[in-house]
Amino acid sequence: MLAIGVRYLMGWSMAAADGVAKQHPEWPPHPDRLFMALTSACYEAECGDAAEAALEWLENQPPPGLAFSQASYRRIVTSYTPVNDTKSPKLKERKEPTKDQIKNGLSLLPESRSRQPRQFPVAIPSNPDVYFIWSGSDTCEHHEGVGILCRNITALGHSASLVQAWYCDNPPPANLIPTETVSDQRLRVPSPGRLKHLVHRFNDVAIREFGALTAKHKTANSKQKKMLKERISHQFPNGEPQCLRPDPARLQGYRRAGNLGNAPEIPSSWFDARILVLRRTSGRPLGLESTLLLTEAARKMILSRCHDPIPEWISGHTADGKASKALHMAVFPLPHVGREHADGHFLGLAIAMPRDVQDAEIAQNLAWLNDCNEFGHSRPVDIYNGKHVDWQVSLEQSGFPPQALRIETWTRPSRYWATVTPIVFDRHPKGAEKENQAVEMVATACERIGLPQPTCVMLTEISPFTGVPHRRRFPPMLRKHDQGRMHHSHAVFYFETPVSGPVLLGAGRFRGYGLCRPFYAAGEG
Amino acid sequence: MVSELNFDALSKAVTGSAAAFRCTTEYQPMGGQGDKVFPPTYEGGKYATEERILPGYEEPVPCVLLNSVQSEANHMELALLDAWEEGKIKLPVITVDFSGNDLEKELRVTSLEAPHRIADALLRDSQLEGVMFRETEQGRRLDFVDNKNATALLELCPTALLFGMWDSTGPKGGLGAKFARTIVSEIIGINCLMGEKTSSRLDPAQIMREAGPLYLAKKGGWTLDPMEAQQVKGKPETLGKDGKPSEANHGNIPPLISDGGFTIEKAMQTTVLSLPALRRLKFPMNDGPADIAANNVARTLLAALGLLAATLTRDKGMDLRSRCQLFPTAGFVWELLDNPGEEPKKYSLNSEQAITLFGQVLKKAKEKNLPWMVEELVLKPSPQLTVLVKKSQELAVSTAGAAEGE
Repeated sequence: MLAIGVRYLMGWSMAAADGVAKQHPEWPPHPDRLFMALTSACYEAECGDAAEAALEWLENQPPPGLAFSQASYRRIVTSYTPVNDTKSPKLKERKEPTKDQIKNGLSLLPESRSRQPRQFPVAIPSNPDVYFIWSGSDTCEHHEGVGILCRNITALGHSASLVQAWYCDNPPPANLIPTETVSDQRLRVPSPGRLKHLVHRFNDVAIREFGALTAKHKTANSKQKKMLKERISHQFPNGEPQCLRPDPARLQGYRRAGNLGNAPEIPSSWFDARILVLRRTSGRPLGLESTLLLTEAARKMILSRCHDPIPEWISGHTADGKASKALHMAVFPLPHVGREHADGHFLGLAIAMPRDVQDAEIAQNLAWLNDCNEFGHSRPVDIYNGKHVDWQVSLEQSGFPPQALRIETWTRPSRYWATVTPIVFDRHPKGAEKENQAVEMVATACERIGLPQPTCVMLTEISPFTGVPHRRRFPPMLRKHDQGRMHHSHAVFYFETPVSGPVLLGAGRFRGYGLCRPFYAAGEG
Repeated sequence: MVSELNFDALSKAVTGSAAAFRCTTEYQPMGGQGDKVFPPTYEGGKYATEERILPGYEEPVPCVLLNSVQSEANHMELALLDAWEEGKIKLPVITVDFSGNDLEKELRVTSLEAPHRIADALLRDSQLEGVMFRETEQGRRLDFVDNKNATALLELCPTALLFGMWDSTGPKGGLGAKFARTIVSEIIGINCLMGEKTSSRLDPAQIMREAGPLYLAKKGGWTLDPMEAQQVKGKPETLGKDGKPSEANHGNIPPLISDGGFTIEKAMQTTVLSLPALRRLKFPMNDGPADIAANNVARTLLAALGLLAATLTRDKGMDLRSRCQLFPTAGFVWELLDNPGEEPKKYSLNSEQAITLFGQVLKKAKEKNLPWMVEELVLKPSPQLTVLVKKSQELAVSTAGAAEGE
């Protein structure tokens, strides 16, 4: 294994994810950014042949995994930095300068200098250390070269983004790994030929040579001037060599590592914890009462983009049109709840897959998730139903999303869970024991998605999360055969030991009802 | 254990493999904990706020930028300028001196104050003994500087090597020499809470808005008589847009309450001096290749200058802007960041020690024949610029007279 550790010495990273626009900080740092910094170190610090060989070797390796922490972002503000292209106007003799000429001339002085707007996007990770990990690489030959390169790196991103880098023997496990299937993010990575391209575009050797010849020409006598001029023309027929910005490196899909860092012995549902989070980027705000409308529109969008035959794990139906008995794709909203002033409005929605579906199959059927622009950002897709739902969503790729859009909000291990949308019962509880029946149905619903039976279930009219409406404000689901209303209820329940999510219970679990969230009881750590 | 940073330790750090010197300093407002501070506002009146996940806090902590990287660099340059003017350090300084031109107000701008340092347009458009600066012997040498040939900058403007420079308007235009900064500093307020500010004015003369309009007077100043006013297209010219008494600074301003200022738990300044960045610089002399020993001394000299700049600003107390003065709550300790995972060595350094250390390294540099301009290089502004500045000052005086009703 080869790993490079990078520590942001100021505690933040200043690098833009969107090129010259500089409206979005980049986090985590892309592997190609590291490669470019290593290349710069190699040549500017004259690291030697071993370092150059290490670079050539590195660009031929598969893309690395990354281990990094979440980051928050500094608010993007516009600074005004003084320009340097001001010139003093030429004045005519015996003529009074005009107001404009005075203004232009004064702009040379520091206090009157014109300024241009600039933005400096900053990401602040909770842990300033990031690791780039190439698993399975045989590093013996290039250990030294990589070490030399690391010691000579100065910054990653803007020149103010000072870093320390080192060859690392024992990195933490990667939490973002390259994938050829559905990806959460796309990062730029080096590939074979990248080093040559960077050296060619930087063009340092030619620029220095041209500079040296030009300097000699300036101080030479007339005979030497002529000779030097000829030499310059011959060696540089296209004029002064330029230093050009390199082309962007290729994009590689990345996905969060499988277990999200949870211990393997923690019971988890049969839904994959790596839920796909789609952020609402435009469209009418919706609240929890619109759950069914939203998920229905989202399902239609997903199905419309699938090729025939649509797999059972997406449609929820077998080949002969019957309802599938197996776990299938679930779509659920991601509301802002549980915080002060929360009002339950949706920040986005999520798609949960059955755990046993292969990544390649997901990628094949949800290929639209991998559609991205030149910066690796997911392109938005439309979700609408012609009436109330008119959204655009895109794959959530920021490093520090709002709480509702964070996977761990809905999946982290907990003993205590509570509903955000009510649990729909398979059948209507009746008789004197109807409450017990309902409690039993909740317990069964947990088992149905692979969780143990809860120790205790309490049915409630309201949810303990701020912003969640009373259960009566949720439109009921209707039975297909007679359009009868299906009974639903909020609930709070707990298990003997922590379980991890996503926890989606009851007859509405594939359509956004029965969505549960970890709920910490008083006194629980 | 904290040791005093001496020449040997500094030299060893610069010539070794350590990554950086870093100093983290905590501050409180001069008015004491709980007093409000006013961070810089950006376009639209916004503050640069952020949340940080910090040890000891369960939830993300709201923070606000109190002094940016660029502003910190400016403060460090001004601290060096003060020390130089007080005769405490010998530093290459280039000054554009407007004196001797009979100006209303004398003006001097040094390379430590010019926005783009030695590459600034003001220096470019100034003269040394009648020759445009970039055409002089000193100026021409700047045409050929780069990382591997930084001697001219060491001699004439070493702060450009510390704080960065881009010679964007020299002979090579946008492809001119670029030097990345080697020292970065920033101050943030931690666990901040936005407050409110008030503003108002009570006019002692209680002049009402309806007392106007005021006009620009033919003889200077302002007048209420349209017949005595300057005429524009046959109409009397109002003072300002519509001749309100407030254009002449009269009248009340009603009380306003708006968001402004923050209380903070503490402020934290982080300063990092990058040693790999210094190691990239080379200092050839006498048209020969760079001497390794001379390179090391030159880099050590720059390191000493950077540490000096950072220490001087800390020792003076951070007077960042109106209602934003901070006082350090502890001494300054520099960590030498070497092997990750190892406890960094720690060094203390106050202003006196930093000045002494700088002097010691400068002496070593002289022994290595490294150039260091000790005499101030005084440039004169171009005649055209002088005319324009003079005219502008004259106009400013007459406009100020108008505002005061002379």
